[in-house]
Amino acid sequence: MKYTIKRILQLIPILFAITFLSFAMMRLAGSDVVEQKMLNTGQVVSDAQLEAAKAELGLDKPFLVQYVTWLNDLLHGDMGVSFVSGMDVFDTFTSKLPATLFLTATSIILTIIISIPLGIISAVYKNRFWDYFIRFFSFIGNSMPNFFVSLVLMYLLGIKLRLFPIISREMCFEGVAMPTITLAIAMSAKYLRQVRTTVLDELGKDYIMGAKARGVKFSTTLWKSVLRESLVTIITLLALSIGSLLGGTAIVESIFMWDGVGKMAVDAINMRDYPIIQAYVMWMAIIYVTVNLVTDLSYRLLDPRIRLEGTGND
Amino acid sequence: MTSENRQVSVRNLKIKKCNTKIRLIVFSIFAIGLIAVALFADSLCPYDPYAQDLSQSYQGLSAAHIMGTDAYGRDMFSRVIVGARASILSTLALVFIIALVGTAVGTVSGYIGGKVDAVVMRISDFFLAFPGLVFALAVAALLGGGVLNAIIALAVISWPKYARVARSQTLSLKVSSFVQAAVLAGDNPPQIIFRHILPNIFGPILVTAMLDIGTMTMELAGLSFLGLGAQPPIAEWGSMMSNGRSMLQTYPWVVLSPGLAIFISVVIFNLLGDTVRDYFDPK
Amino acid sequence: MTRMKKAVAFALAMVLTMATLTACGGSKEKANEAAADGKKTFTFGDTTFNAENEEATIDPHEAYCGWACIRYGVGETLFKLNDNMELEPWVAESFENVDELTWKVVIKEGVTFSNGKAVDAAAVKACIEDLVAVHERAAGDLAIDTIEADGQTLTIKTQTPKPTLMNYLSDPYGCIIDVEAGNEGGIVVGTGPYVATELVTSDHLNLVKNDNYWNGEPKIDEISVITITDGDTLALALQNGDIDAAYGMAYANYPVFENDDYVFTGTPTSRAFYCQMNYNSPVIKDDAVRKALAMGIDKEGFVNTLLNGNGYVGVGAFPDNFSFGGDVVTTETYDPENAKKVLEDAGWKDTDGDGIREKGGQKLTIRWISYSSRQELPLLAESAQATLKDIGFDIQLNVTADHGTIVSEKDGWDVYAAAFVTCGIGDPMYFFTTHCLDDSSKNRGGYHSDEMQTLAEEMNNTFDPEERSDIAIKMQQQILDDNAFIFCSFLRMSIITKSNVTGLKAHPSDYYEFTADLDIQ
Repeated sequence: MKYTIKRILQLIPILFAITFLSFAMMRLAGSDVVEQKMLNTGQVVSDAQLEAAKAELGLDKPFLVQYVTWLNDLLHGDMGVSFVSGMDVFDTFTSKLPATLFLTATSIILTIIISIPLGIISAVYKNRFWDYFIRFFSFIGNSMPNFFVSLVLMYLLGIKLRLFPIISREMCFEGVAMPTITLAIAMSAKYLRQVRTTVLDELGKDYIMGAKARGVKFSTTLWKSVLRESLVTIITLLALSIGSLLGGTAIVESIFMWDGVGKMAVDAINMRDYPIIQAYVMWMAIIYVTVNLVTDLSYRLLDPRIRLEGTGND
Repeated sequence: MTSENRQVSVRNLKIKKCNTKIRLIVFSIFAIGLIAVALFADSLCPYDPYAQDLSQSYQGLSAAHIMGTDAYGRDMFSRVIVGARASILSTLALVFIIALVGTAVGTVSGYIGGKVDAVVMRISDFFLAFPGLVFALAVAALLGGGVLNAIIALAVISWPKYARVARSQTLSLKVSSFVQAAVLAGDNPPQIIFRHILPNIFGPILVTAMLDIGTMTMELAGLSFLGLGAQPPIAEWGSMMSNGRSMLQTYPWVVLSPGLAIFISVVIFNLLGDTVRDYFDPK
Repeated sequence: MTRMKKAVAFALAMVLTMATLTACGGSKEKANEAAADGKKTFTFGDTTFNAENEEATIDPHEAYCGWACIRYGVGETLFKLNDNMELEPWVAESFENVDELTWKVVIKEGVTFSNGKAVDAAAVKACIEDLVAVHERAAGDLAIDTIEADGQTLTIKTQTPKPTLMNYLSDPYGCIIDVEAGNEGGIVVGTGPYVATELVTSDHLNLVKNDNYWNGEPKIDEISVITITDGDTLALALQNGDIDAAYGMAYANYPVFENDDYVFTGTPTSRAFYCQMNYNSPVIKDDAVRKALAMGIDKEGFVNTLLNGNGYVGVGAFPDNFSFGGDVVTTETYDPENAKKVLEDAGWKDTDGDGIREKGGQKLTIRWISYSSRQELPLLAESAQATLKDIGFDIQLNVTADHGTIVSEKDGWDVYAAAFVTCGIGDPMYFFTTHCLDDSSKNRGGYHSDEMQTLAEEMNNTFDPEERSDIAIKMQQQILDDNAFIFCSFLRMSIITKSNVTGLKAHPSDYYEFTADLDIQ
């Protein structure tokens, strides 16, 4: 409990830093943001108008005052409007977030489905045919950039085999299939190796030898003990990978036209739509930090050994 | 375990070590070859990679153009070779910079400890708190396109990893007997760091760096693919793929050649990285 | 033994990979034309319907959203342009130019909004008044003084003589909408064959058939317009059967569709890909530099090779389907040798042997600004960079979505390559008013010509189309002689449909797409 409180308290400065950085980024983008906004609406801008617009937005005030004002607005769910579409940033973000979360979830599930069995097989048949076979593919999967995988999948599964739609309109399993497979290939390749190492470690432990000596069937040992022991490690790894996954979805979403926050961010970057970029960076960071915290805490509940090991965070 | 068994396992370990050495040599040669291609790209490419000849556009694979030509009639093979410079040398520079900065920060912070350490670690926590590519996208957005900006974007988010490794190694070395002995012998902190700590953390840092090259190659190419890295007409694999996307079905060589180049380079560096890890940490 | 196993594993893996790569799925045709409930549905993929393109909604009174409104059959204008870009009746029956400042327009009887309300002069008046009040370009274009409504007759008085008033009202922003019905969520009520039901900016628009349509019965029950910003994904989506027709596909994908399963409908348009010179830049101010630039761009190669022939080589500001377009004017042609001579004579010489010319210590460096949302522009930029380099130019490309900000700074650029519909409403003056005069909003490079100012004055008081056409030719020749603009090519606009789609035809104005004729077999 003490640890939980400590961890939550530690989160506060990080959240402040995240908001501060997002805010500073926006300001770094320069005062031309205002000018650009006016240009985007097709107006001819005079210096006086520019100053007036800046004053209206409070941009003539000291930096920290601006930050506090902005933070206050933020806490009330007000993140301004998009330069390009003129729509509310917070609404835009929340309307697109479910798609990204859905994609993230399906990718993680598919990764688990692929990497755990294959990792175990690879470990059990260490240095035998299936081990090399699986590791070969894991290596290939690990060495291909996801945009390359996307293009190949689109061509093979979409055009040649016509298994899945190229563009996915609704949040259904058929629609999410190709982006999910793309993301899962790279992640599975990585986690398969981790699973293999973990299982190998477990298999090398004395209790397995003991079980063997006692005549317990190997498959029983495998499912009952090894799997359970490995699971905690794997779940942690997956949770930690959510960060890279949240970022990784950006490329894949924009290739497959998956209408999530990643695609929104890439579009916004191309159009220098700073309010949207700001919202994306900030919320992604907050989600990431929160997920990490929850993982960390639940991990402690799951595994009593760590609970006893004290509260050091090194 | 019987003594016979133990002998066998020791022998196995020796064979393994020997195998690792051979692999290390082979993959190093591959990697050095790749870097040499990047360094001497200008004299290696058969054509000027930027010379256009519209009458030669979309030529298929032939003896004259072993990877065909693109829309502008530029020789793909020459562009892929020159692209190695933007792709591989940039990645190496990036990894070198983050390894150097990260190690420096981590070592000093770990050695001094106390408040400095706490502050530095909070800063690195902060960078680790951002999902990597998200932050790189933001930085790239702020700085605009360009290879250099893409490198900066990735460097800003990647150094804390090295700082973490260097710091934890430094912390364990600090209490080791030989460092304690050096302290007693009156060596000043810089001497200790340079003579005793850095040489001993070189291994883990090298392993981390080698394993990072492949990933960084892909991330840098990814930024270029999104239009946030190298800008056309600069020959860079990610941006070449991005520009050639529409030819996947009609003139596949335009997109597959740079794709293959990325894949092969990443494979080579990943193999080398794995081998270096096995070499330093034979498990 | 281990090595053997490794080899076998590797070989098997390779075989599997190859098998996957070469696997050819049977042509499993997707049946999406007639849904189970007997409803006809149609899915259209479009690269341009998005916020970046200033088409965030379908409300014609906002930015360029009118384009979406008219294209997708929601809105209709008073008059329609025919294939020769001349006005034809549409919502209005006829117009009469009473005097220089007064116009009488008769609205057709029996035209209704999709909500069933009849369209009379009062409704049109309300619509135009709202347009002028909120739209950024309309007020200046139309210069309306007063509007009077009486039954079906509308009387418009302008502040100044506006010979092209009816053309301007045919711009997509002139779609007649029911302003009383509002524009919630960017959805408006028009008079067209389809009614918008759902709109998500930069993502999709859903339409259903207008049961009250005044001009025939629409044949499709439900239409979905999907924004696919990426031209390649668009191609794959059409191939895969996700969409029935596509607008804005990348040229490199065209060969995939050149078979019996698909139909191309194409037409020349007046969308010009042009270069604008920045007179604020000392290098560009040099007449020889502009002339050499004009002589150094390989327009033929650009159109025939890089665009696979999907375009028309440009001479002046208008393509040759207009009486005042095409070869009626002359300009420099691609001639690298003479371009070198022009520069040499003007004192631009390569003294340090780096291939780039200098004059008085100033390198011949050109900052070329462009953007990539029009797929032709990056191709033009890269092609021009190479051909101009041979002449001794150092072209620094900056192809970015941020182009607007850069060209708004006087000293930030030299050449701006962009796309513009030069004759969208069938009248030549539009381009000159927006680009070539002292007070033009898009005269980004500060171009000034006394001759042009005089001609423009003359044009504004000329009502006869033939005379207007003659002035347009003079004005074009003037900007070409000054090399203030280089017109590289004109767009050949193509819509690619599955072969079972009928009634979808590309129009030279690029405005009209979905009509009551649209059908799917």
